[in-house]
Amino acid sequence: MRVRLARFLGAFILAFFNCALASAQSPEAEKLVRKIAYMPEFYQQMCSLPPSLGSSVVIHFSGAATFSEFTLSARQFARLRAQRNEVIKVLHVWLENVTAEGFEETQQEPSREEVVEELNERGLGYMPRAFYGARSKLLMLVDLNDVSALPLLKAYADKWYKIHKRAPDSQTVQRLSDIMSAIVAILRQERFEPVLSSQFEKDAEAKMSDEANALNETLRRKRDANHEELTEQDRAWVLRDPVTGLPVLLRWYPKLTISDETVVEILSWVDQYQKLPAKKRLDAKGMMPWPINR
Amino acid sequence: MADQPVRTGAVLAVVTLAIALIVGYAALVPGRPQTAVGPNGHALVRVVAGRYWVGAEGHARNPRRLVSVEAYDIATTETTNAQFARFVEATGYVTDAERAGFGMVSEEGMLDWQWQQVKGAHWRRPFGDERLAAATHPDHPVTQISAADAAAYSAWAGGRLPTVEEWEIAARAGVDTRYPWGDELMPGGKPMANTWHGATHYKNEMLDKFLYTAPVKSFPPNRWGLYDVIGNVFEYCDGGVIAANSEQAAQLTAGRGGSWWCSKDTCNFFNLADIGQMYRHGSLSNQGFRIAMSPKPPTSAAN
Repeated sequence: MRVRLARFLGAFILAFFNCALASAQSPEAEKLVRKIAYMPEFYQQMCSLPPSLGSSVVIHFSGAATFSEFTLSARQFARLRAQRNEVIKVLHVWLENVTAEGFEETQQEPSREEVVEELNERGLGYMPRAFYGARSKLLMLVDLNDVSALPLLKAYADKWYKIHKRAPDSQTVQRLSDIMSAIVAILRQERFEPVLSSQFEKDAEAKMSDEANALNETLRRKRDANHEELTEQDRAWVLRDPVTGLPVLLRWYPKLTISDETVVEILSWVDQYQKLPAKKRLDAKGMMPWPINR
Repeated sequence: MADQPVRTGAVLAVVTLAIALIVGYAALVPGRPQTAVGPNGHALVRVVAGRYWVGAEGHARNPRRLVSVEAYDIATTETTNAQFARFVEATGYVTDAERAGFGMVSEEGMLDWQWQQVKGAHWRRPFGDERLAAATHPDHPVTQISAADAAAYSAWAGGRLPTVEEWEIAARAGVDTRYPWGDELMPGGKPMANTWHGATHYKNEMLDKFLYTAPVKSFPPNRWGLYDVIGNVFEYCDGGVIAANSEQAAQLTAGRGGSWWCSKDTCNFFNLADIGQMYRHGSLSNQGFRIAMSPKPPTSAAN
């Protein structure tokens, strides 16, 4: 009886908290997040699709492990940055919801018809629903370097880790990989020492360095020929790594398969990060220099 | 003298065994099939029914194995602009790229892996301008057509797309090497296919003389007379798709053989083992196809 009462009270408090947060959301920001999350406008189909993730969790250093033909454009990131605080509130409500016990994430997603209608307008009506809102929202949190979201992201990862351990499949690998990649991306943007001194950071930097050698040569030759920096279209394909400063192609940003033990270790870093004094956190100052595609 | 029958028997046994081995080998590695002229000017070779080796040792997606196929005919060349133009003229067919209003284009000077939407790029103008326009390059492989467009053409011609296994059997022509001509991409430094030569896509060194597509038959054929199975354009095939579910699988298609875009540092699928996959309705400037046909059953004398 006491347990049931406690559960009821817990659910009531959570609902109240969500209502309070929801009322604090700006309707414009909520609309903006929804529109961008489900209708990312940068289309990047290539001549071959990348292989699927496999059966183990993958950290992709760009902030999202799964590849999508659609991702957020620089223009969309810029619009989100312009309303950083309001957008963060909306994203926190989303994280509170999706981490709540028994919440079905697809409840918040638009209907297939809604997505197809949008794609038809772009002449892409044949595309499957190749993206899902969570991937876009995680990328928003990374781009905004929202350190206050880290405990919520940890709770989100915990939820999917439990599901993954119980019944691993392509969906659990995909979702957990995306969440873990977002956590690592934010902690890297924060230059958080446990991440920077980890073995997988060293492995990633070695891969990044190889990639950057070829890319730097291309960028140098383009500059020599054109006497200008990258074109707007080029910028959509190049990321500059926040830790190493190396240029990395969007699709070939290093990714590493990690063990379950490493998942747990990364989540423990979030707890460590919470002990960091506020003045040592970069937060908004840790955002990448300009809005870039991810 | 008493040893004579024994010696003769031994010789006969060895000869019989040798003949059996040769016949058995020949059954698995048939010689060059005959070529016939098929619909819309397609030269076709007949692949006889049987069991053939496909795949490569240790290849996760395409492991080495024996597969059984029925007899089929397959075009010796990739479908050309001229052939596709006759199809459009006869049927009024509108391709996916024409409907979408754009095609995906990659060109020299772009970053590796970069593809961008170009308005007005479709099979008649694969780069959205006059470069390699179909009207002035009738013998180049048609590009900026989707796998769905390729299937529509094939059906019109009375054929179909080859399965990934059929494509590989014909492309291998009985060899188990990485390329139809051996394991070395450029034996003696000689380019054997139209691929990208350059450290990046900033510059194509054009060791094969071609920047983008090449006219079909620009390079030597394989042992069965098929041209350009490696390079020039990625060739759409049926089956061989890896997907999470049947809905996703229906949206995808497989592609084989690599293309002019593929370099050793990017994609690198210009070989007989790798299998690419892409969206069934996507259109790019490096993707084309060759047709296959199932032989018609012989007409009964009673009919």
